[in-house]
Amino acid sequence: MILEGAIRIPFKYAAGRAGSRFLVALRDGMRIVASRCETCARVAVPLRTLCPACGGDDLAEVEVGPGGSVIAWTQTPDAGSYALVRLDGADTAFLHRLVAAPAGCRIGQRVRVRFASSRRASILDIDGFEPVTGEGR
Amino acid sequence: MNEAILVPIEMAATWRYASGAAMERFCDGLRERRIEALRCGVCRRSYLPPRPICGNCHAPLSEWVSVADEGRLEAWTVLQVPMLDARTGSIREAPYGMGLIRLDGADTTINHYLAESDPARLAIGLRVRAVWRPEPRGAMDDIVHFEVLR
Repeated sequence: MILEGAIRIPFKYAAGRAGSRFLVALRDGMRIVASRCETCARVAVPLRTLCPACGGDDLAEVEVGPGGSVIAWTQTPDAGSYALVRLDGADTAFLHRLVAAPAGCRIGQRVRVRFASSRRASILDIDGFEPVTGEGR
Repeated sequence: MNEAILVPIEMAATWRYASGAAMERFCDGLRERRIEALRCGVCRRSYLPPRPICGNCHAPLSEWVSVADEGRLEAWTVLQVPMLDARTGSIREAPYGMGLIRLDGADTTINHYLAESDPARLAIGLRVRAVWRPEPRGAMDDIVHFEVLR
């Protein structure tokens, strides 16, 4: 006899100082904020309080995207698709859903962030990335 | 001070596992509202839920005995905070009573929900009876909870 078990674990975690600013900017301004390190010039998204490249704490808040280029993408067994995208102005990759048919997706594909119409300071305030057609690079 | 954001997450997991021969017979019985324990031929202790080996004398168990769906409340508590229900994986809203129940014919207790959640109306030694779901499926939650007999 095979028995079945199930568990659902709901919890909340604090997004923190930078994470909260990032999520509020998505919700209130449909803006994607990143940090530019004044020491090594690297732009990291989402916003940080410390530079992930050099550890510096002298950071400026800058806006990146909403356009970007696909670095890598994948399709999951349930037919969802995800992409790592380098948003314009950023030096790091950003992971989110690919919302349009990915059949023709390729590395280097130009995409654009699509924001959700109803937003509540969540990473899902972004629906995902949709391909941009007819845009040269 | 900036607005502080709390990010809600829900992790979900499901799994399947082999019941073992003793639990299989026990669960088959539940489907017919029958509760059976395994008794040790050496020390005469009856185990509920059944287990294949006696915890006292380590003898293999094979003697099935019928157990009533009524028994004695050996210990109880009333939970005041919502907790995960291990049988469904979802949150059970507080308050609710839980008890260790020794069914007539068994020497061990089982841990189950109580219909009563008022501490003033619970006491060790009360008689309790299983309330069965209308259509048992062969699992421990075929018993919804135990009600106090007054």
